[in-house]
Amino acid sequence: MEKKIGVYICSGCDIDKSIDPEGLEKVAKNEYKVPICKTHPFLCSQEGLQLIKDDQKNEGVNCFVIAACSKRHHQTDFDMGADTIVIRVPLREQVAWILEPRDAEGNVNEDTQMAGEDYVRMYTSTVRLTSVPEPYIQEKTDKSIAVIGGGVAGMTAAVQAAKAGYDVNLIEKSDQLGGFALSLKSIIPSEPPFENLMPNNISELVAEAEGMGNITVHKSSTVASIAGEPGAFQVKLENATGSEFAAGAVVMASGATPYDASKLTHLGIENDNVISSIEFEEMAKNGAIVRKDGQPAKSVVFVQCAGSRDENHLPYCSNTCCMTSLMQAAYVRELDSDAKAYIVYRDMRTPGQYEAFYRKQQDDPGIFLTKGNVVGVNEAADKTVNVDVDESLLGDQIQIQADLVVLAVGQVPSTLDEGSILNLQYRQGLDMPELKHGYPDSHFICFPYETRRTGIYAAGTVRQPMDENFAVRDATGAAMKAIQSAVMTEMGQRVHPRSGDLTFMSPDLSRCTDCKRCTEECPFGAIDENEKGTPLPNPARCRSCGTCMGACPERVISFADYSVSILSEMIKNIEVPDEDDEKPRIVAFICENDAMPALEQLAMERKKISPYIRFIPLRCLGGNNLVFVSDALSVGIDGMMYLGCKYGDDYQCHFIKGSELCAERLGKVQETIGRLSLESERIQQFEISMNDAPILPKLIDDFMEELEDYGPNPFKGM
Amino acid sequence: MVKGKVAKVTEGQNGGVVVEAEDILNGGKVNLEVDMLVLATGMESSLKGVPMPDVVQLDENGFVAPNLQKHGILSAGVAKFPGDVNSSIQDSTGTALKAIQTVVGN
Repeated sequence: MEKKIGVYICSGCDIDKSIDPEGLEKVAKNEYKVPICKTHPFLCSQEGLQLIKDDQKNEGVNCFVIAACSKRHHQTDFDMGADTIVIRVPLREQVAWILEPRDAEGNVNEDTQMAGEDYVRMYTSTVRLTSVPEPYIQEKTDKSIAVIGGGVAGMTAAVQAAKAGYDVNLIEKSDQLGGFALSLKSIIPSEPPFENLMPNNISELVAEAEGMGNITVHKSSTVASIAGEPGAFQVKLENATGSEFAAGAVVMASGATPYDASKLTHLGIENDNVISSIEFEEMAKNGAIVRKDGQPAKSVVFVQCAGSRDENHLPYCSNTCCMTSLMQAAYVRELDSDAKAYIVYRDMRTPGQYEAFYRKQQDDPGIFLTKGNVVGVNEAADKTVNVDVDESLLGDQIQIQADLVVLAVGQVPSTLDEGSILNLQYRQGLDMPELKHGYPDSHFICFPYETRRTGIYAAGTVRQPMDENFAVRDATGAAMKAIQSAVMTEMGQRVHPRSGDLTFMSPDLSRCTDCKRCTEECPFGAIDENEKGTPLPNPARCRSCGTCMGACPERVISFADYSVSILSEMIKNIEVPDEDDEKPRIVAFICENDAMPALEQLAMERKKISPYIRFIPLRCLGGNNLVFVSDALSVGIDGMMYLGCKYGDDYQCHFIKGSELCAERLGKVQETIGRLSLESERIQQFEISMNDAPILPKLIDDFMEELEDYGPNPFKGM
Repeated sequence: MVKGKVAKVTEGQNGGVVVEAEDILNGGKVNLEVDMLVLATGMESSLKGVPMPDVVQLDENGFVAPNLQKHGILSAGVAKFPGDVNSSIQDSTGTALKAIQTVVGN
């Protein structure tokens, strides 16, 4: 496409109280020979937008450099339609609001004006390197959903997706649907008044899943392999017929298993009348609560956190055992009004509306609840069990004599079972990367469904310990995410967190050296490779974070509107004053996800920062290519800041590994910098979260102060 | 950590706060003088006491009853139950699908 550039400067929102737009126009016209450059006092108004549209229509402008607010604002207003390039210069947030305004006489501040002019340079320079994204459209996008696991979560995901009009293949390894819920007598209340147990309605859900025309149920089946990408997964099953089908997205709802109670010897599991909560449920379901010798159990002690929140067993809380024991205590009372139930807990956790059920059991005179530590479980000669409890609310050391002791066990995700669940034919392995304890890596707080395998969503107890009520809610959401992934793939769009982005990684393989860094470092396992190690991209698996672009030593990976050359060009177009001017220049690469909003928060509060910094946004710090360091140092930039997400165990990176990889790469380059007799501290990475706006000014000031000690970059002006 | 109910909160002598509470596990009372006392308060449904159309039923605390929604009216997140960011996102994602279902085939 023949590019015709128009630069449009907005002087509204107090921009002209800090900047002289005429100076910016001069830069665009004289230095970049831009044919059309206009200033408007209210660019996002109807009149302002009309001015741009008229130029599009009458002058043939197709590349629009909008120097106004940041691209986080008015996204759709400045959408100029197909076959156009729109580049937003964040004049308002990164210059006008955050640097010194004009003085009392109305004269612009020299440094502020220089920053404004630099940003016009930096962004205008990228137009020639930017292209209009061509979406990746698959020949045929399959939008059916494959659901692995026929328990509550899997069946719910299947039924809910089917109700929205999507075809589903539901895969269950046993010979019947239902899963763990088949073993339950009752369900914890999920309806007002939240006080009464509800009958186990699993058979209704089974009938619904089996009866829906657009659900194909595969029983006695496991996944032999999954290859491909969203919209075009090829699923092969291991079953009698060796079924094969396509899928647009996958819901992994393979469930959990109860923690193996036989390991709980410190709680006396080897004794006849000490059983797990799973065995107790079965007994209650069969209608009588009895000791091993068949005598009715008149007193039952429930031991909470049996093997949970225990470093020797499961270090986490399984979320479900408190409510399960309260439910089972209710069974004791319901089946025999003379019987008594005791619950010994460490902390009783009944969040939200579950409190009502807890309160009801507390009010039952036959149910005794106490906080305490169970220190001994011993069977007497008559087969009654003595439970020793320390630090209880009823006394320092008490002993409860019981006919039966029930150990409330937690959940272990099925990912820890032998064999792979997904059998992904991916370069990075058969399964989803795990975060902890076998649960898949995810942004648990902000994006609970996200995984590191695009188009594959975990739901139910394989994602997080939960009960049936939560699994229903969880699986409905996972079905939504799966559908969304297939539909967006059909439109050629990326999914979360760059939803709607049409760009994707595309390598220039003619210059690739098969070093495999991109195939190894992609946080989403999007890139496979052939025997030689040449990358085989799967565009629909790409999340367009640019981590591969940062990794590539040959710099052959780019996106239509985001590339190493674009970012290098921005650095090279910063005007670097002479050493004598005593105006240092810092390049700050800033993560668009959290650090950028933090900076903009600062701007909104009209707080001021150093005018010597030029910010360059990165989709993720993972996109940092080491060439940027040499680019910056060679043009005389005095220091570089990398502002990105927290990394490590409690990472906040939206692309999981990006900020960590950036730090790793910078660690390597710092040695080289030292060899150039430059201080490696000139380049530093900082962890910034969304709410770190208040600490940013000081962080920047401290960095500037440190730089002052080192003096100007000796390569300046060379 | 102390398990027990707070009995009394008074102003301290040096501008701080004195918290008097029972200490159940140690069987006594504690008096803590602190610089700041934070009350960890819960959340209340914004619909509590608000007149609703007949088809929308609220539980006794004003949260929308989950299984009583009809007529294409859905609720999500903390309108339905007290929760955190994670559970709200989880719930609203599924609710979006339920909303789509109501218009599929129409």
